Amino acid sequence: MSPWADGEQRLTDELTRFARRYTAELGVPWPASPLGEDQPAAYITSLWRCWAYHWAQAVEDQRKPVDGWQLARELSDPQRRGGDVFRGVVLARAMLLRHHSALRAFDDEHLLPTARRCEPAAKYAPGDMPDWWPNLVDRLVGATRPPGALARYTGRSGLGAYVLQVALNERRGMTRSAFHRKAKALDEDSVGTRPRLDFLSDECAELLSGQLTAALATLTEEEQLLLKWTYKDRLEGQQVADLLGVHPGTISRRKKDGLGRFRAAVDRLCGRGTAAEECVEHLLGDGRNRQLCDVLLDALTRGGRT
Amino acid sequence: MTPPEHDKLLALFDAAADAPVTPPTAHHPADDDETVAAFATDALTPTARRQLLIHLAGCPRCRQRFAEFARDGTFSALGATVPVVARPRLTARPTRWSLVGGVLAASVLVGAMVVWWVRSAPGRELARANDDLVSGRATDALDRLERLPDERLTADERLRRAELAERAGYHLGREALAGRRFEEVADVERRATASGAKSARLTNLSIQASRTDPDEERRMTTATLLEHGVQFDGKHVRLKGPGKKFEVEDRFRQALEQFPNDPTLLTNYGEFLIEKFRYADAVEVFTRAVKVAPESATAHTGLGLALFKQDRPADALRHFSDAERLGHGLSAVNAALCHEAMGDRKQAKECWQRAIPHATSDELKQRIEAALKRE
Repeated sequence: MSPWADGEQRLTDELTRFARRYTAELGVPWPASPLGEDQPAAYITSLWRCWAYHWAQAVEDQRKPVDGWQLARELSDPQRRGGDVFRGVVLARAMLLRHHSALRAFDDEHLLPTARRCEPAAKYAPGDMPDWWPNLVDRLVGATRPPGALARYTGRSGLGAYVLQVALNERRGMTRSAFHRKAKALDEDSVGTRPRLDFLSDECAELLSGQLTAALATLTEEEQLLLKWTYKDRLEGQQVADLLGVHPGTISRRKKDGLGRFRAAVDRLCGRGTAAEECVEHLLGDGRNRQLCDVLLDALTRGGRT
Repeated sequence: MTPPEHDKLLALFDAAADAPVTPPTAHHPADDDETVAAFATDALTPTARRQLLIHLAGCPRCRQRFAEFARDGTFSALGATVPVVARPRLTARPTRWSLVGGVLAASVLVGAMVVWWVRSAPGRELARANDDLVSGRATDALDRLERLPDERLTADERLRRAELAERAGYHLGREALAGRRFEEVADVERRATASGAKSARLTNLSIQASRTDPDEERRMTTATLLEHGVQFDGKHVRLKGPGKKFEVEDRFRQALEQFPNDPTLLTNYGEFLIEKFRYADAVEVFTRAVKVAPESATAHTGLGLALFKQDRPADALRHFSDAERLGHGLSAVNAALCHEAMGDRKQAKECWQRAIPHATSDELKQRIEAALKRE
């Protein structure tokens, strides 16, 4: 008996079964390939990457062995949230191989809904083509800009959502390649502009902003994001709740708790008897009896940041 | 009216909020269309979602990008791509029997709720611990979890307790490590482990505490060969080390047996081996780190350092170039030193030029300029 070889064969058989099922549904020929690529292997590798990702995630979440066969059945369920990811993976791969039937299916299932979602007022009908459509298809398939966004699709999200995100980015003009974006240094590519702290000496600006950073770091990740998204990025409570995945009704309480802890941390790091005391006095001018934490909280909650 | 000092304080807060907490990384989830789509459609698993939020809290670039997506309706549009399965509608008219059935069902439901209320005390405690954790009261959360008797928990509740204990332990441990309260880190790890917590990052904190190193991940990304005894002409002073086996090494080995693919553990272990002058072992460990995390500038830098120390500047150069490509500007210094060691002055000069904007101090800048002038 050779358990590893048997297991590997069973996995390959299952993946081949999925690949054949979806290529048949999409009308894509099997196994002939117009580009001479080893087509079955390309489908099977993509499907395995998707399956393995979800399998590993399920094991990590449940902290116990997970039935991979059952998981594969769930992933291929069209009623699953995000849709049948295996079908999405095969369709994306078939698109990259430029099969006509795949292009037609992709048009109907993804491009038309995407165009409608991007421009709801335009009322696109089948056969209509927005101006930015050729660019989007090029970006997805990689005809002039290889390798194409679909080559990066691994089935972590539904294909529909992925295509829409690519389309939204295309429309935003974010056409720079991921490599270019990755290669840029953090500061250089910063989205916002760095606030000027020229009302303080360099030493004080560095010390105080460093202490405030340290105070923020004492909070939990959720609290840090809540305060930064609310007071720095000025998002609405509902938007922050959606991002954090919490009920919007709890945002006020969470904000109050977070600010309370932030206040205590600022007091600990910048209060009397600390290295920052002199800088605080300089910053607050005549406010020798006031504490930085109080004035900062007042500024955050009343200075147009609520 | 807003007092002028409020503007100053808001500017200070903005500067603090935008200070990167995690080291600059080559991978920004906000640039990854699939991660954004999976986040918006709620397709991320709890663990992946949690890791993403941890990244967002420390990376101003990704946080701001996500804020933009929330503001411009990207997330709502993506969320709308997920089909909503409609619930079947009840169309039948209620009859007398269905009313009687309804009353009976309600009675059964009330009874079940009473039983549930009595039996789900551990579940409520776990929910409270979660609330404590989310509200930043990690100490309270850990206290609460420790008080839960093991025998009263179901298998699922034990798993949940372990997960919460891990999060609370990690938060408290990280705080204690940064504050150099190393004994407290060990204590927190012991308490969290007693509640079933087990994770690479918790183990890593404990090992770093036993090394009295306040960094969770040794900042290899700031390291250049200059800090490892290499001169500006690329020649290095040979240092001899005892190569002694420490208790720390046993802990690293045990941790890596449990979590063989954790990049932080691997890079910290590699750095430990470099510190002990065991460059061959360091090369082996960093090679594994690069394999596990090919996008990690830290892993590439570490491997470059170890290879250079083995007198393999050409191999080292490849990894320093990768680290530079991944956003670690100071790797240009290391690349220049590799070229110097190989006697290629022209290439070395180009690297020195590239390194100037990334010099971390005036002294380093002056020394680089002197190296450029040298014939």
